[in-house]
Amino acid sequence: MSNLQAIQNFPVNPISGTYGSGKVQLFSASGTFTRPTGVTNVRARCWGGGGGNGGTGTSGGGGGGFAIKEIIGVTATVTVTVGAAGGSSSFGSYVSATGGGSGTAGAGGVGSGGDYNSTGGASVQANCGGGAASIWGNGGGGRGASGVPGASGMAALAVDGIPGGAGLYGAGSFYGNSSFLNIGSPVQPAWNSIDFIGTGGGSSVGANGQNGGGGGSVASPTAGGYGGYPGGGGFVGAPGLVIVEY
Amino acid sequence: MKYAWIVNNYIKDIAWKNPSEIYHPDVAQFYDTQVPDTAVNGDAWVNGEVVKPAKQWGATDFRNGMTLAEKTKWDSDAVPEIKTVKAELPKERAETSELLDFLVSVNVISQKTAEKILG
Repeated sequence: MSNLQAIQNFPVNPISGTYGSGKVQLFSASGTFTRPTGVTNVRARCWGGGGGNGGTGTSGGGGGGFAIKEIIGVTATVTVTVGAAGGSSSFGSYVSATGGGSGTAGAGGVGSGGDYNSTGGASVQANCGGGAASIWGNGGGGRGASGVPGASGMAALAVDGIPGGAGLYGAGSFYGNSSFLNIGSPVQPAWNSIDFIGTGGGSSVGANGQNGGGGGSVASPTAGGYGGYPGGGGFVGAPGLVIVEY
Repeated sequence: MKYAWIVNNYIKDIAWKNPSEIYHPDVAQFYDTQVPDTAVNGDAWVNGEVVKPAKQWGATDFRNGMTLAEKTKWDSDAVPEIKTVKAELPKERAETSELLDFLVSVNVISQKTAEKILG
């Protein structure tokens, strides 16, 4: 997760701005946040895990939900949960984001308790995963078995009305590619802003997601279909993520 | 025992601690079913019992069981029948056995390899 750590050097966020001292702590696995000396307030972001195949042929899954919340007077320690594929991520009981549903028509996960919450893209069509939700809005739906672009982000459009992105081989992604036609392991983009994490769109067939983009599977699970990290749905859903700023 | 979120008779997610302590209340409410410690995400939940999903064989399982020469044929789709089989995967045991017999019949793999893949 070296790219994850790199964003600590670039705490510039066009929507949310720099928080507190600009320091961030990232959780790619469940653990405990211990409040640093002198810190009383934090801002937490959660991405739920992307939904997976669910044992239903070559189906993808829905994208994970997203939530962001400022916590005034945070407790000394907070249990952090990072969801596996389809699982919920959470910063204690303050704020959570659920994982995407599995299989075709798998619904996107939702954010709960945040100052802003958004919904992951649904797996609209067989073989296609939904994109993760982000601070920019809902994730794009996964669709495109016959070359039809994925549905754009659903109703709620975030701050600037920019949706999570439609998906057809990467179209609609705001930062990096939402998905790419490549067989093999998914690639993690070199993030340089927390706000751009998880902004990949929905996917089409045979693509691995990137940066939260959905992954679209083909006939075999070894040929594509990985949801982009974090929270992209796909034949294999991507895990979630929690970031704490203070 | 652990608490799980059940959707359509499948375990969507299992809480690693008390749900009310680690999730927002709107989310914690979904983790309302106690399941055995052996349960994992994706297991079926039928009449209060965990049902493990049937094993499936995918293309990687096929390839891993092959000899080097067979892998070369498999990777290059040396005969049309290989593509046909790849398109069918993954499958459960009975159908996997049929596909392996098919590959033996067209001389893509040996009977010994077929038995090794099926285990």
